Amino acid sequence: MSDMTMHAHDGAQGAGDARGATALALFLWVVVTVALVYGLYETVIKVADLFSG
Amino acid sequence: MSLLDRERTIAPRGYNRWLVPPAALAVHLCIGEIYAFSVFKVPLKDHFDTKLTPIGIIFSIAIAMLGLSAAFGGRWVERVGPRKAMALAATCWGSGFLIGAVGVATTQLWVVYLGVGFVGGIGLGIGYISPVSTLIKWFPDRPGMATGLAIMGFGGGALIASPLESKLLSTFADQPQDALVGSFVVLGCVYFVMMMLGAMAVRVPPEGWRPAGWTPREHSERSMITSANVTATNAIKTRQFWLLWIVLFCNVTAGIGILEQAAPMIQDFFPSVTAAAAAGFVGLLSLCNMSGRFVWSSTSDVVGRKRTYMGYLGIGAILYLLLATAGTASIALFVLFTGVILSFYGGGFATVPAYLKDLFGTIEVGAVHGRLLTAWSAAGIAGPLIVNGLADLETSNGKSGADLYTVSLLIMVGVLVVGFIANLMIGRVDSRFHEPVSEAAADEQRFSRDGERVSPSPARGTTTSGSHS
Repeated sequence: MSDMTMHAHDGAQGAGDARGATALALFLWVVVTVALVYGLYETVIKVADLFSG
Repeated sequence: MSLLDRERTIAPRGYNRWLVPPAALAVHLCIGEIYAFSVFKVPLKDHFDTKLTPIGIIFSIAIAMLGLSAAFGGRWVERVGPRKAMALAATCWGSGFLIGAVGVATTQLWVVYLGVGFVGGIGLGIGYISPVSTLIKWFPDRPGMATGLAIMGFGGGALIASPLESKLLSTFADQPQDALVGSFVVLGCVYFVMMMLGAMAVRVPPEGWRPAGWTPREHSERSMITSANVTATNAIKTRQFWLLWIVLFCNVTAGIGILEQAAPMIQDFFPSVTAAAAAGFVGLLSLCNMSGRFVWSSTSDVVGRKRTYMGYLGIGAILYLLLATAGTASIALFVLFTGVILSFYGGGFATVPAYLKDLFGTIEVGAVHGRLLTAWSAAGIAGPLIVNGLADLETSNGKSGADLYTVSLLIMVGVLVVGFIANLMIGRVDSRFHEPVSEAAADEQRFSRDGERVSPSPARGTTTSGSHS
């Protein structure tokens, strides 16, 4: 494989890696947000007992 | 080169730095479960047919191991990078639950100590410090906000884990004590996967990277904030490290005293409060603890670290005094005072990495942070001892209700005043502790000071900048 082909291959691999990392990070943003909303919702329900009880 | 090596985590040019915090949050939300471990206390007590004290040892071992592994593993974390550290944390935390499940299945409590306490505790410590220095390097312009976001996850982990664990215990069996094995296995697997996803997503900035359009502010010789670097070994030789240790110890002692006793405390102050309402109060305090980590730590980027801690400790002392003298006036006031105190407790944890960065630079900030967390372990013993010990003593003296806590609340005022004074004494770290400045870094500092570009030679490397949208 020539140097030029190798660099082109590395560049494509780098771009693919960056795309993969971005997709994974965006997925994690969604997961942590949903998890936090779930936790907040469950807590707020309990907190309501404090002032209504 | 292994997938876990630091070199494999270097972000490509133009990488958006806002893609890094969810990796840190994924880890911290998982390890934050430890604050919700009390959900398992009664089922474990029933399963092992023992008292609550031997079950409480699981949590104590885990917190002790958190402090020890953060203190001793900090330099390793800095050397190998965040991905390998997060992977180790995921392995320890996930396998800790699986070992714990074996302990429950075989009715061997010591195996649960070994799993959730010892092995899991190592995962807690390494996981807690692993994203800190990476985030500070990505957000040099807003280090308080960045670390606040991650450490907020540690506070938020309990909010998620508590209802989740209750549901798992009711799903796997009719009796909670029979559902422990299944619950531990599910949690171990879920936490391992989530933390490994965080490890795979984390990226470190390229050498010399800085946000586009941002140049470090030049601080005067008298300023506490430094652009120099101090290693972890040298940091612990400085007065500033130990003053900050006292500050963190005092802030955590005061907060943990309330956190640990929250439910019985509000019922002693207000006998009309039901058990369900007291549980709501505990949930509200968790919310304040979590939100304080992000809000106050972000505020510290604007008002400065020292002033922020003056607020935590000074206003905190006033609020404790008000609790001791006027806490019984109304439930709303009691909830307001304790909520603000708990937000300061969380804020104290989240602001400290940025304070360390101001004092010691970024070179080994994760390792210095790890060593400072021994203050947390010490406060974890001192805070509950003061509040519980004095409440027991007052009970034996025939006191009841809010009177049980008057002395311990006043002691907390004193503790916070000591922390306030220690914070006032923190100043610039002596330059003899600074690492020698390389030629390239000297050029960079000269550029930021004079506003003139120094043409870097290839040997010196170049400063790269990237997106910070």
